[in-house]
Amino acid sequence: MTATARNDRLPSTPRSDAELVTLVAGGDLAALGGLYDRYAGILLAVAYRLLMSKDDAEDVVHDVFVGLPEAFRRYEERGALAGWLKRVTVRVALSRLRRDEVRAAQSLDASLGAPQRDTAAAIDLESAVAALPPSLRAVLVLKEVEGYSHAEIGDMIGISVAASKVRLHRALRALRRQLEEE
Amino acid sequence: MIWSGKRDRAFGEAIRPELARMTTPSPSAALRERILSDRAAGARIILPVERNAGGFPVRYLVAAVAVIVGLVVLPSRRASRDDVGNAQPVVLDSFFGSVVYAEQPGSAPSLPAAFPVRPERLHAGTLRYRRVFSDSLEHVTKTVESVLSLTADSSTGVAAWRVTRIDQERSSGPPVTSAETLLVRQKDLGLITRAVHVRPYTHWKGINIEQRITGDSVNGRMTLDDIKGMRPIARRLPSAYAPYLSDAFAPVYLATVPLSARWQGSVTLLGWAVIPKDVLRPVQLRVTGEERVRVPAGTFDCWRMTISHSGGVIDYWVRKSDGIAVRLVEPNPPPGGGGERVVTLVSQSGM
Repeated sequence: MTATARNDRLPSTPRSDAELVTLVAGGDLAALGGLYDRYAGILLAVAYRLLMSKDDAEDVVHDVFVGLPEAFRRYEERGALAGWLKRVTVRVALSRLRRDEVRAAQSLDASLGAPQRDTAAAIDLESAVAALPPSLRAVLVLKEVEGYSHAEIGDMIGISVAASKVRLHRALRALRRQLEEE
Repeated sequence: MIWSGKRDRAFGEAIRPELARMTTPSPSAALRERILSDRAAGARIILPVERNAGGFPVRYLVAAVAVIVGLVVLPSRRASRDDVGNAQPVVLDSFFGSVVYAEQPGSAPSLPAAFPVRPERLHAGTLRYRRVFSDSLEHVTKTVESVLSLTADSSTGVAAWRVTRIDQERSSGPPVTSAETLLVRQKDLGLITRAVHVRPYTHWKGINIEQRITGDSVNGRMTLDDIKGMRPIARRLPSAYAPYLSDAFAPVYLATVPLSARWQGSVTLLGWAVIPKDVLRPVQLRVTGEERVRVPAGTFDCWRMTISHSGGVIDYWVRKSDGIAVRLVEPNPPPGGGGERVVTLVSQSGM
């Protein structure tokens, strides 16, 4: 058992989110481990859907949890912790996605016209989503899977509501094309 | 609008359940251990947290105040859809592309290093640039008025240029002011010190970067205006990536390089260096042709160039007479969403 593992197990009595937040803000590693056990699953799923890479998604979740103690010192409990954690994760994932997005969006029209895929492989929805340019995939996932409004998506990505709608349209159109070609 | 038609909505609804069932990885014990180990070892990461996390009552209050201000104080602007509710996150952009999203490069630049062969071609003066950002619908989303000045100075008895650049950003969100001040040696344009201040910066009141470049290292610190404490900066600057260039200096740097029809070279932009991925940003510069370019400052015979970096390719025009930047067009600038960034030289004095 490693040095950190010795101290990161919570007592058998489940703690509330509020208690964990207070403990994590105070630097309690056991509480941070407890939060990981409770929320890493949904946060990893969010990050993975945005990035479509297990390694990148794990890096995002890693960064989120490492940064939580300082973030919690400014956290004001007014909503569900899970929702707050998801928004933070989305923001961190988007910042990582932007690097790829610039590259991919450079030939956005071209990529829409010729989807990036192995023509020999069967195209299902998941691979079609993965083949979308990151800028379109982000809006699709945030809107259709995570249920954010276009205003929230625009705020998170840094685009207008209209641009968010345009991207969703393009994403759906690209998906439809790929699935029809299957 | 065509993009919100029934067909799209129906298709979106049809695939939503399958999207939600997409296979996603499970959190591993190894990741848990890595997080706790890194944390125990002192790793710290500042997250992009909303200032009022989950604070819907505050949001409603802010929205109400904004509505009242909009209706009572600013009736002439009532028709505008750009208000506080549409405020966009601040994204730092640099002259040669986005340094803030730079990635630690895997290999040294392949093009010859573009060292300043003729540093004496720099002269004191002021340049004014305008950066206009537009979205994929060709709407202007942000403008940045930029003033770059060079004045003669010294540092510990060594002749230096004091380079200052002040950017005033206007968008639908709160105005952002950023200032960067450099001291560079006049004889070889090597960086000595650098200070950057941005207010506001994403979700904070302001951020401050202080760097001192000594030998093959950059050291300094980062502070935030509304949070106590600091993050140290201590990074190595490998010689293979030289010459190092700070963003404020970029528009005038090529004045010191003998450009020609087939010239190509590389420089490395120095990031804020607070995090490992934001230290080095190599860019490749290539002359691709000659063009006469008209900008607000005048009409100039220019070298047409490309700037290639990890985020894409930028078109760039510098004056043939003195290498000063005249125009730059970047497609799909961060934070993404299509559109472009166009930089033009507005006016000049001295130089």
